[in-house]
Amino acid sequence: MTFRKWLLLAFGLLVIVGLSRLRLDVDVLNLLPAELPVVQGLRAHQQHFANARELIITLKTTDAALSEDAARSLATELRNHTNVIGRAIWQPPWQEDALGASELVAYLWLNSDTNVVQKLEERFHPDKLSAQLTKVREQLATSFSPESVARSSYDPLDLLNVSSGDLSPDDLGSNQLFASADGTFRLLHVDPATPLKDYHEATRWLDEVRGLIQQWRQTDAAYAPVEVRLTGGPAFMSEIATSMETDMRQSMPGSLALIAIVFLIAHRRLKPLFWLVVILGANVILTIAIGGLLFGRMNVISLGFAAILFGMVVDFALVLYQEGITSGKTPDEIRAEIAPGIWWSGISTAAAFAALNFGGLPGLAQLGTLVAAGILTGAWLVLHFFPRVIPLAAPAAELQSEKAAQIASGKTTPSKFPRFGLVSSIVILLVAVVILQQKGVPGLTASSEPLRPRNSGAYDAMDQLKTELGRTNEPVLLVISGDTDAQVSARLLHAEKTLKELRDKGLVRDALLPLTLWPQPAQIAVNREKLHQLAADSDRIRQAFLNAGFAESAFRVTELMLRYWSQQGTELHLPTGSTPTWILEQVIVRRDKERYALGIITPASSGETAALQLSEALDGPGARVAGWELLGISILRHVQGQFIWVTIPCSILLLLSLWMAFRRWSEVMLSIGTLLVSGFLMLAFMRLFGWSWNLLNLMALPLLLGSAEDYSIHLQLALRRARGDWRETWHSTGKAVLLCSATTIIGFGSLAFSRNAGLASLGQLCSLGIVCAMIVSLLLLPSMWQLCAGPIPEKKTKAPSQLYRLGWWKAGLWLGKNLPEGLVSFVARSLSRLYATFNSNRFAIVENNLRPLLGADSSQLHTKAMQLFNNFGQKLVDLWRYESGADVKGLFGEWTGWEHFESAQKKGKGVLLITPHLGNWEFGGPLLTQRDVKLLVLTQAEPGDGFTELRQQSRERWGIETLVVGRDAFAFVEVIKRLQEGACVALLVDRPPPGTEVEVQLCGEPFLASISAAELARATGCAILPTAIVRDRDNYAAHILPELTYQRAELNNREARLKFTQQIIRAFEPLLKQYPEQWYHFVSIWPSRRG
Amino acid sequence: MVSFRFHLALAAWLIATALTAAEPSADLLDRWFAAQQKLQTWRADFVQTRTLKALSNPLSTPGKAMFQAPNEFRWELGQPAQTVAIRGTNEMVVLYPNLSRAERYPVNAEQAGRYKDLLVLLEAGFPRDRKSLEASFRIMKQTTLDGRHEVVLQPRSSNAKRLMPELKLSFRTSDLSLLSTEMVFSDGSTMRTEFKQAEQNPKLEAGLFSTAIPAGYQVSDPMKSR
Repeated sequence: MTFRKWLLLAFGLLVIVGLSRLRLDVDVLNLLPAELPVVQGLRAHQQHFANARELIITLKTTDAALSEDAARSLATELRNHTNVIGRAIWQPPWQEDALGASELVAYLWLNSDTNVVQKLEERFHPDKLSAQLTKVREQLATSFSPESVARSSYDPLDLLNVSSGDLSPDDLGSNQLFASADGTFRLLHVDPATPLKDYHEATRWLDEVRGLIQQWRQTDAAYAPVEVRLTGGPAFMSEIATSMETDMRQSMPGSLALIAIVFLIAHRRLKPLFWLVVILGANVILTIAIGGLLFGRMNVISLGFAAILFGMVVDFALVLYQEGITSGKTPDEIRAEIAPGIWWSGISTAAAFAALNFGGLPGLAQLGTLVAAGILTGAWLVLHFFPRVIPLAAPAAELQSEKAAQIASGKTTPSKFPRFGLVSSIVILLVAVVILQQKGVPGLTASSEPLRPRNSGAYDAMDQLKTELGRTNEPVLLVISGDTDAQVSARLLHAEKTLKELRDKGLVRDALLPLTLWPQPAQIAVNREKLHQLAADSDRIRQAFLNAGFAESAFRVTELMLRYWSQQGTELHLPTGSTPTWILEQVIVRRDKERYALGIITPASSGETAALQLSEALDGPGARVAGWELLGISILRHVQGQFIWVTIPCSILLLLSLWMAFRRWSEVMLSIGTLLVSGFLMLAFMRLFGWSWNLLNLMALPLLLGSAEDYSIHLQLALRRARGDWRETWHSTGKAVLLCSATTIIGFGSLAFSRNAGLASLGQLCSLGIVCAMIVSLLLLPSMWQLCAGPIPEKKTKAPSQLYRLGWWKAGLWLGKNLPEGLVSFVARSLSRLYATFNSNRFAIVENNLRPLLGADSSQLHTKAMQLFNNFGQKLVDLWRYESGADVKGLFGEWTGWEHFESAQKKGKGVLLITPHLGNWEFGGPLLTQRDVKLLVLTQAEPGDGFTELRQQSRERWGIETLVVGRDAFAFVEVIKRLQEGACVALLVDRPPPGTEVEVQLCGEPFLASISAAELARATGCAILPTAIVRDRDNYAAHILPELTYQRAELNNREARLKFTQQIIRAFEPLLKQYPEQWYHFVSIWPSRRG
Repeated sequence: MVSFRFHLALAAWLIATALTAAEPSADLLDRWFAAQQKLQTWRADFVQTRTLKALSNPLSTPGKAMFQAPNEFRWELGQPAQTVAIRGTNEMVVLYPNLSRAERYPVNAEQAGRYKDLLVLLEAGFPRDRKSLEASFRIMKQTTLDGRHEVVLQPRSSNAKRLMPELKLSFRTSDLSLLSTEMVFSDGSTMRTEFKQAEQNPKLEAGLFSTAIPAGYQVSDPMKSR
């Protein structure tokens, strides 16, 4: 199997592994920054306290009696199904199960103040016990209170009436937890028979519970009007997971279908549409696999990635498609032309999404990473596969020739951008100004609403619960943690003190701390001994009950308590019965070395500020204030703090990518201006629609920076390619941008239907932002471009790299001279390849230059172009070493065709050595010097001051003379004179200076060559020898081709000189095809291929 | 748990029904309903026997009951009275003379939840006909034996039914006077009240149904604190 196949196999395996690892993460808290105290508090509450995991069934009727009856009846029905229901509590367990609660009360006695236990001990004293029991018996005969009768019957010593602190079992079991004040609304707290491991189990269990509820309804017609709703942990978990799955099932195919419809309407082609859908689908699968590999679990926000990706990646395909059907170029040419724009816009957009990792919200960070990865893989997939399925409009060569002819003749007359665009955009902006002036900018909402699902039955039920139970002020939770009972106890006492101060300041209305329930080791140690002694007297106490006329059943509660006390050893054993466990699990957790206590605080006023004040006062070591109102404001503050860290890298990346794409400040500034105006417009529309910023949609800003920037890049590059011709720009890219924005709006817009409120608001805002960016880009930007930037002058497209400057060259000379050749060579080749990788524009030019030599095979083109950059690095090092005076004789290798030179020289009419920019032509000088031939090199002026002179001096060191032909008008007179004297002159022919260029054919395509050689031949009759010095393995081989003969007299005719130039150029074709990776042109050399 | 108000309501209703004059008729119960229309005041002694599951032997306590139409009553339990329940026009109080303690209960129709059925009964001024009785109870069984007619009732409200699944009342067939009531509670305990020396439309002392609480009593409102 080939390496490529192994690679594909490994890639396929990674996809499978990634997909198999993927799970849905339905925990809303995982979307939030774990370092925030409020998040830590909520997480601790959810993980450790039972009430966060209970299912709450709410019942509502118009009749309190019916509600109570329904609650009791439903609880009974549920309890019958022990395989489904672990616990169903409909009223304070204290009332329902006095015996069960006795164990808890026994624990409370054990945990009480030692003086209280002292008094309890006295009740059991033989002298007092009988009198007390007799008294109670008399009360039983005369009491009108059934409750008192019932209680005294079974607890004649009143042991259940333990004095309690702030939070007693009565508080926990109070009716407030189970019914509204008017009794028409009731709650059932329900636990599953076995713990629910994940959302699948939660959903299955809830379905079973719903089935049981349905079954229960049928037991009595009176229950028909009872409104039953489900809320609480399992309901939230199931609902969020279900909504995520629904979003995945509906939004992804939905947005893909809409995008397909838009494409079909625009282009009416099925084959490309089919492949487009395949590519988009494959990209989403690939990205999901990446998500699986990177994260393992995908959260509710991240699921929005697919729709965004569809909208983003399809843009790349649309731009390619539009170019393909209008330009008439080959797929490879289209790819080469559009790739830089796609890569830079892709990278900048991906960078913007990746910057969400700095936003402080893990949920959004995951979304950002996924979209960023998806955009890059999508760009690659589209560039690699899509050009092949684009139907081409016309034969490429024809169009190219036509275009080349137009360029060559300068007859292009660009169509202007329609004025209505500018006018209408100005009108729209004026309207925006008026809206913002009248209504102001959109506000910022500090609520945690964006984190919850929309149209949520479970959340609606919870809201109803709060209303019915009169919880107008959202309770704030205080989670106290510690390593030991004593530590938690101390923290509880400290919290109690702080809460008292807050109550005095009017900030807290009510606070319940589990001080009574939390184990007090010191008190327990003392009480244990006394209560052990009481337990040891069990028989005596029992006999006293019987003697006082009580039955065995009256002793049951007392007996259970005595038994609990007798079981207490040095290590505390909390009650294990169902009722006490339920009560304790609400507020205390003691597991191994983990200790948690839960306090419930009702602020004096509602709102985020009150919650925040509580947080500031109570948060501390081992104490976390938690609550959903507090969560909103805390996260918003966190996001605001992080926002700058998203915006700064985004802006830097944006600037960088804009610069890399344009390399023109005017165009960079126009892009930035487009973004700013789009943002301004978006604010006005937001205000018009009554939208506000929230903690999730705030992140739309960096996303829009990345997304909307694409349009300005594509449009300005298209305007540049079309040299400002709006009609051509509109047909090639404008329509594509329109389609792109439509598909991106669909992508983001599909999020607006997400069941997650935050994701929906993010989708809405991003859609709006894209609409604004599209309006500004298509209506305002083209005019501004004409006004502020305009087409790039022709010379700039031919300009050499900015790196070819005197300073860099001197540095290279120093390196070549002073550092080991191997090291400098390695560094130079690496840097050269790096440059090629990151300067896709330059790389594309090189690929484009090689295309006529190599054909349309894109992989070969890419390989040879990269080799060219690598070889150029090596060539530079060799040059630096040569020009710095280092010994380079070892680099000279094979000679071929020397006899041609000798033969030409013998004629005595001078020898003109012509060469293309192939290999290391500079080495011709020293090679000839070695054979006692003095060379005159004709060059053009190097860029910048002193550079030409520096290189001239270097040649002189080898006895080589330089003549700068571009600078001196009489330079050619000097050349003619020297040739006539029999000199040997070297001339480059494949990149002619202005005025000497003529069009010839090279490899079947129009090519601009220098006519100077033919002119010199006519003037001097010199011998014309095509030569090339190319690197072959470790050294350079010199090839002198046979002399090109001509009839001097015929050259008086320009046509003949053109023909001879064609002959000269054609002579190099075999060498060029043999060594394409050494044909060093970094500016565009084919007139028909210049963009 | 058995509601205190339920007891009071039930007792008041039973007292009222017991005072109905007897008239010969094929349907004893209808005759009983017709008789109670003529009742203005009523007074009787009683012995209440509580057979509680938590006690090895039943507890018997003597007492006195008084009624005044349309809905006032006074119930004294123990001799001397250890517990006194008085239902006035707008409220009901329970006094514990030995403890100098008093409990106050509202009786308006706004009371909700488990007590609603019983309060409606109280405010209605006791059933005067079959229709009003059957609005709150199902008649499960009627038997006549040795000049004594016993009616077994079951509360229609599930709340009341849960507290007291069954209620028995019996009256004399000859004069339609109430003989006894028996409440059967959910844990099997019973509370039977046997009436004797009943007087129909006696002149009762003024202020007997006053809910004013004597000075020095500690007062609580169990309904409010609930």
